[in-house]
Amino acid sequence: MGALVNFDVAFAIRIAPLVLEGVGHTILVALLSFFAATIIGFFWEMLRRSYWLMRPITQFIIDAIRSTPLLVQIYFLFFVLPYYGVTLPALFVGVFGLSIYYSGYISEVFKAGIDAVPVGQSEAAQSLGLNSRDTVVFVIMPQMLRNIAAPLGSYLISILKSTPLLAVIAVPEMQGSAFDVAAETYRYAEPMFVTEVLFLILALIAVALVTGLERHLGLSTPFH
Amino acid sequence: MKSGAAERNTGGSELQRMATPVAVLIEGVSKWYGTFQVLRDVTLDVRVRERIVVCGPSGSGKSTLIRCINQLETHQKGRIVVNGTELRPGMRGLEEVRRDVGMVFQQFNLFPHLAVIDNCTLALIRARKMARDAAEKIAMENLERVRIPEQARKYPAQLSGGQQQRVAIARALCMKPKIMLFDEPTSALDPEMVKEVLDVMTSLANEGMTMICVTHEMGFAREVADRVVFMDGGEVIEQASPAQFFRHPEHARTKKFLSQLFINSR
Ligand SMILES: Nc1ncnc2c1ncn2[C@@H]1O[C@H](COP(=O)(O)OP(=O)(O)OP(=O)(O)O)[C@@H](O)[C@H]1O
Ligand SMILES: [Mg+2]
Repeated sequence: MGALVNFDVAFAIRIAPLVLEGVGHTILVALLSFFAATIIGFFWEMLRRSYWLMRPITQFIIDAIRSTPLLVQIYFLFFVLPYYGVTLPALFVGVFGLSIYYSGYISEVFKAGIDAVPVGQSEAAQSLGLNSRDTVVFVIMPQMLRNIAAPLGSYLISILKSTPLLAVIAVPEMQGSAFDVAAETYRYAEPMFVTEVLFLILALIAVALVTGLERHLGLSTPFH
Repeated sequence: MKSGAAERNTGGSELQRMATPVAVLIEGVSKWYGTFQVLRDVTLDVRVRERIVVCGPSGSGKSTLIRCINQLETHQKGRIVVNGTELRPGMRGLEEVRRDVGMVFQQFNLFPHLAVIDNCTLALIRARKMARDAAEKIAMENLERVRIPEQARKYPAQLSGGQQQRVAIARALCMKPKIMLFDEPTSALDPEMVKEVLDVMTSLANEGMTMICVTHEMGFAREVADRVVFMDGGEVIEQASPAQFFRHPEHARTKKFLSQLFINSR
């Protein structure tokens, strides 16, 4: 309880801009990772559906990615690979690690999104003489989009909330900035509190953007 | 061929039939799901302009049979020839064959993300590479044909079941198919909407369309069909003119099926 008594509001306001210096990197890392994870996730799903033998192989890769901790994967990429002569910049490792990790989950979003389109839809398209590419592009994908919009949005938030892990490899995002302030001033309560509040604000903005986009694209309502 | 219903089943029609080109030839077709045999050595030929009604108990293989005709299902034995092209698994040019075979499903299967008119134009634009204007013109003609042109800009979910099924028929007709397949087109409809769909099918028959209809609408079969095919256990048990089929069914299984059908429809 002592911490609360000692909480210095003026100090918190003073250091807020220092923590905020990391916000650019937080947003950059979150967005880059989200887009990369979405593309890689889609790739996994296409691979999984391409050829019967690819199904178990892809599934194994996805399961392996998903069943080891993200933090361990990041440590591995950043600290172990250099032993084998592979040294990667922290920002790259961070985005790469987050993208690969979340691509495993996002591939499942695509899978569920495609599976939820009734099989009668592609049968109708085929019976009209559409080829398989046109069936996917004009019949399956538009309906899949509606199924994946909400879960994809929630993975954007998850990725945003995972960015502080990158502080361990010194990516200069918000958590890292907060640690820097703490190390210099020997006060933890204020920087951590400020970080918490800033993340909350970012997450709320992200939720608003995702919901707005969904509504704009007409994805949140059932078909007309 | 204005009054198609009046011209069928007259004496000598068998000779006439044999002189008409074959639209669909099914010869010794068998199909298995794993070890379960769904189709057993089915043989059936359908001539141009002929109207066939297929009936039989649930699970007898009716859907499977007509889905083989556009290869939504593949057969493992026998021959299927559609408009002169033999269908083989993994064949090239299947899309071309399918464009000449329209299909109407029990569950309509309209594309929910597209307006009625876009449901009708999609395949014209993408598969037939037609310009949008020309495609929309054809779509409107066919929506008029099913008596629903005023709904063109609506979305499927805004229509009643009967209207949706008529759109599905129009969508198939846009491709100018030579053959139409119907798989229980009225089974998912509320009773008051069955008639509007059957009326459209009847006028299609009167225009001379080659039709294969899986249906238990026996009134439609009586009025429109040239031939009724009865299936049970994956086999064609009996086929005859409607008059013959309803009045003098030959096989015990057909008699049993018909008696149950009429009890149920009371
Ligand atoms: N994909 C499948 N895998 C295994 N069995 C199947 C499959 N599809 C259909 N069957 C079986 O094949 C048999 C014939 O099915 P089909 O749908 O052709 O019957 P139907 O005569 O159309 O019946 P209904 O009147 O109920 O529509 C049924 O016993 C069904 O359970
Ligand atoms: Mg069926």
